Amino acid sequence: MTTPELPRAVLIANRGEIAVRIARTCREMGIRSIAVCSEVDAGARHVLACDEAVLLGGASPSESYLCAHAIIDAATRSGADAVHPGFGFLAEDPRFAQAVLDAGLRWIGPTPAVIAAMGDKLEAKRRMAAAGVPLVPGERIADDADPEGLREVAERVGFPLMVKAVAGGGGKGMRAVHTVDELPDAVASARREAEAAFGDDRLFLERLIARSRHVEVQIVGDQHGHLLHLFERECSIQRRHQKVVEESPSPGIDDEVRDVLTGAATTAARALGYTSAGTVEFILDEEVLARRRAGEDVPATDAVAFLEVNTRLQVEHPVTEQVVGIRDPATGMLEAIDLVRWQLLIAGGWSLPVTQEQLVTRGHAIEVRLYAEDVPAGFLPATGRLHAFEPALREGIRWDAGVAQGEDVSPHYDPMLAKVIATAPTRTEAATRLAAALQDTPLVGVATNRDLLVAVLRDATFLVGDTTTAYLEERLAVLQASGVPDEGSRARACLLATLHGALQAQQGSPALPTLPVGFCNTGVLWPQETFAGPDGDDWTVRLRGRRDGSLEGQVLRDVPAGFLDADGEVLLSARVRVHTLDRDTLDAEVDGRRQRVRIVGDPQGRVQVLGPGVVDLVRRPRFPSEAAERISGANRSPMPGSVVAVAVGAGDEVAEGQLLATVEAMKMEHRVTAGRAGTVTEVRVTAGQQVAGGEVLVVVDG
Amino acid sequence: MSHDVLRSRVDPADEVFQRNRAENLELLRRVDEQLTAAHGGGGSEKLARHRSRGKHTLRERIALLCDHGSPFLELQPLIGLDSDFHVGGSTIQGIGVVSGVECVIGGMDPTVKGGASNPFSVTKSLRALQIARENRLPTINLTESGGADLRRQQDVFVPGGRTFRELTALSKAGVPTISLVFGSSTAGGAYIPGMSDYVVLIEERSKVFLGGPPLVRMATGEVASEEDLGGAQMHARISGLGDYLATDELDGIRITRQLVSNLGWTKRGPGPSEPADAPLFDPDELLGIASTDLRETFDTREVLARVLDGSRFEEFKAAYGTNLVTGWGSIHGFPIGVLANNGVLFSEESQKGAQFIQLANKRDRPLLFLQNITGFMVGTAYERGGMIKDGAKLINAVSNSEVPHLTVMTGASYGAGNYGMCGRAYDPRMLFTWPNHRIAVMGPEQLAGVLSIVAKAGAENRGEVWDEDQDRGIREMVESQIEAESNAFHATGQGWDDGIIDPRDTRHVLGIALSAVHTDDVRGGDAYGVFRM
Repeated sequence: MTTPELPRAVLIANRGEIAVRIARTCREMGIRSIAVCSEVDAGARHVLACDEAVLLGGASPSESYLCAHAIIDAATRSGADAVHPGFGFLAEDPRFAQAVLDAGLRWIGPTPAVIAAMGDKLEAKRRMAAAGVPLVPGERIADDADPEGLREVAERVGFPLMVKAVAGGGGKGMRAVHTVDELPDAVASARREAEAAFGDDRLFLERLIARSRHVEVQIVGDQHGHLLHLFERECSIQRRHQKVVEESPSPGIDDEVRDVLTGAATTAARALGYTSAGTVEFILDEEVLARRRAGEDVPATDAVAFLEVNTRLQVEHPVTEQVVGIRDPATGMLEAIDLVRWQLLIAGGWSLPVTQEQLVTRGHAIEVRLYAEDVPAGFLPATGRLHAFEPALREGIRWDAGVAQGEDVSPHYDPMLAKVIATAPTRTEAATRLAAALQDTPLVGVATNRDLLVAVLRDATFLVGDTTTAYLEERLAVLQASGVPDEGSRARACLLATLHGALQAQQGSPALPTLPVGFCNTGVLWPQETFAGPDGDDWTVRLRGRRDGSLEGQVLRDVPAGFLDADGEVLLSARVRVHTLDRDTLDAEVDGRRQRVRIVGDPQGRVQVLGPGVVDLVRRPRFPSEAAERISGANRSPMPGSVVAVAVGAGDEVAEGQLLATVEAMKMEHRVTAGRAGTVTEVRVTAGQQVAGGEVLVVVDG
Repeated sequence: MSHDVLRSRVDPADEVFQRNRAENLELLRRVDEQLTAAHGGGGSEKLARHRSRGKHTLRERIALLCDHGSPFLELQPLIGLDSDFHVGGSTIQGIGVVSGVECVIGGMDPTVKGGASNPFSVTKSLRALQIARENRLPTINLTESGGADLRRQQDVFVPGGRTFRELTALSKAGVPTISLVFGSSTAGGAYIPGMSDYVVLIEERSKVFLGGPPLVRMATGEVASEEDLGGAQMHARISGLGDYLATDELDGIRITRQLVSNLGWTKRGPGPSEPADAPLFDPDELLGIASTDLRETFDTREVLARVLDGSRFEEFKAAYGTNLVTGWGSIHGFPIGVLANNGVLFSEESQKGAQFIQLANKRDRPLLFLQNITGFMVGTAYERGGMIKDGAKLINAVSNSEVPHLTVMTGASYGAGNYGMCGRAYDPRMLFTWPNHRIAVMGPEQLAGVLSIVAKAGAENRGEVWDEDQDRGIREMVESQIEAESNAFHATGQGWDDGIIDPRDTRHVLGIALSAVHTDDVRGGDAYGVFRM
């Protein structure tokens, strides 16, 4: 065994949670960490997590995190002797890896040659086929392919199919196509997206397996030819081809399939001479798996097809770290693993000190990706300031977060706020634990997918392990409905939020802080507050103090803000007694049911009531400011971004649903379609223009 | 401060307790009835018309102006009770917290006779301004009033003029005055904004002019619109009467709150310095303690045990002049001295009270008077013992004491005892009444009896035949008339107090009052009239 030569200082060429996570291991190992950042990230978590930071440039990735020469310059200036790319950005750019090596620095990852071979998805397939790894049918399409040419390739591959970017990853430049008619549009937009994301617009088509699971195998290789697999992760639950829930072990496979997977993965990695950490991804045919589960004698190999190799650490690597351990043959004790530590050691020439037999799994880990996104609006990335974000820290829960309370979620980067990983002896316990931790986390300021994640973790279909890549699409309506609080919980939340607000205001007031809240000797006034109801109606809460120290609370529908004695439908009438108020935690009894709730909010009037469950409310402002610009027939940008194309001009007649403009944000294209038929009276934007969320793009007069 | 803790001997199962409680609850029900009438304004039809114009009611305007969850102490809510006028004087006045600042807030109710003021409105508004001046409370007037009720102009015109003088006196003293004009503010009413430090006008709503279109046409023949004569735009852009121009009612209230928040207002007096923990005994029991039959006495310490912070009370001179309880405690954290009646005042009680008042002035400590007094003792022994001289000492001390006084009428208030215990004429900063309270020169029975004895002596002098039956009839008549004139409802209707309060609210009402009092310096004096020795 050679003595590893550890890096002294590692430049982390990334941002967000992965940079924070790498910095943590560096610190544990006594290695100096150097962050890079863009102008908008000067106060970001990853900058604070590292020992030093170097400013790269402007907010857009091309001026900062994708600017290879600036990063290498930062590394040499700061005295780094190694570069860790994290994932995304330049992690799978072989030219960058080579440039790092050429600058005399160590590259924490596989060799540029391996990255290049696997980065070309078609080349990867060719090499895997040669090594005897099973494949999904697929074929490259020519850059200048006409519709006829496209159709020919498509028919050879077979429908349904996926349009994919040769340089792809992270779901960018991917489109599912079910009929030949959809093909030209899908190819055109995938090409634009691929060009924007990777600077490479080459595409290929691949057969879409109707019901499939996405299962991948973690591999690690050292520079001495030792290669290990660290079992599998299942990542079937995806939206827009991005993983949302990941777990290990996979609930859908048996040991025989697992052996096929790990065998194929190690075969593939060995054929590549793989070093460092990587992932071999497979598509599993759920129909085959189901037949095997039902006891049918179907070969395990029939279920498995190679997808691609990711030549980097994966977002979901923590689930592996949580379940895989090294068993000490003498004591039987399990030692935890840290994949970043292994990456650093391998880069230093270390040889893997364990055998495959020593690696075992115990328990179950589930990771969810908490995204800033508007789920009902079709998973649109959301931006804003995180006024409240207090991860629930507890046994068996790991938070890998890239943002902290008070920070802005900007439109420039990936909208993932954090990964939350639960570990427990069984899958059900992990899911239960994770759902509870999510629900106990104050999270206000940007829309998130939290409610959806909780709904998934409590969904019966998920809990029995019936998860294919179509899971979210199929279950979305049910899951979204299950997350909506009923009228009673919402009314109760309004009542508690009003009480909390009044108590806080009063107890924090310089005047009369010790008087009972809203005390009035004649009852001429009482505390009152109005919230937006679920249907855009007004829900008004009234509180009246009683002489025994309790309060009579009423929640009324259709009583507008500010009107003290207007009547409305009574949604809730309850006796409330406050036990204690400790900042955002209110210990109160509502009709004899005593509960501790946390109530957090932001200056815009958003209020979140936590416990039990999460209810999000919006306070009606007491003094509404100037009403927002109201334009009949306005078609607005769903989010901040840049206009890619404007499809209409002033005077055009448009039908309802007709494409008006395309806006690109976070590397995704969003189609803005006419809200109603009519004549275009105004086009306010041109292609290339930056627009704010909600900005009027096109006005259609109906 | 470490204090003794009061004990209680009250037995809620006791028959007298139960009777008092039942009767007090009945009195409070009557209070509530009247409050409902007062707060109902001009009735549902007027209210609906007011709302149909997109206007908030006066109560709503006050509620929107005050901080969320802040307390509000309404003043003189039932003035004008049993008169020909709307109970409450068609106005709401009170102390509320606006942007963290305690303010006197008030306005005419535009749903009652267009917000025109009657004699009770004038009395009540002037009282609120007096409270503002004596305690240095910033004042916010929510103006929407057609001016004086012209049918009662003779009762309103002369005293009402004082309103404007009070406003400028406040301004002179450095106490901010704000007028937020919601509607018309005409004739004399125009001087409310005219005399205020800050004027907030609302577009298309505020109308401020000395004479409206009809009067101008009568006087000069000029035909002018309301907007030309006194619209918000005109005053904001041309006359300069308006300082802030709001787009609507809510915007006007928002601007006013911002204005107060930016005043940089600081209170001069010390803040609360003691723990403001609740009393150890349930204030609810005050209803069983407060006698409705004033021949039955109660120990005033039972009241203190349910009003003072933590029921803590350091009694002063406990063994001397025992019919007057004196000592130190605190309410909502504000340290106070207490003088509380436990029976008729003798010489000892009077001297003890006079001494205690002087001590409170040395300590700069506000004084709370709990009145339940049938008077100074009469009889030859007491006259010979110098009762008048000693009573005079107490009245002298009360009159010339410079610390703030607060008075609560917890039972009887008869004779000169009312004066010695800081009755209305002695200008306590605020005075509140329990519903079981009776007030008169003497008890109805005594008064009727005195009249009867005097009449009988007169008849005998004139050699007339004394008709016992007729005398009994007259006595009963006088008794019931005095009874009616001396009950708490009559007293509060006359404006002899700052409001009837529920005894259970006493501690909180006094808490607000004490905090208001500490907006100005709390300083004792050391100059008195000649104490007759």
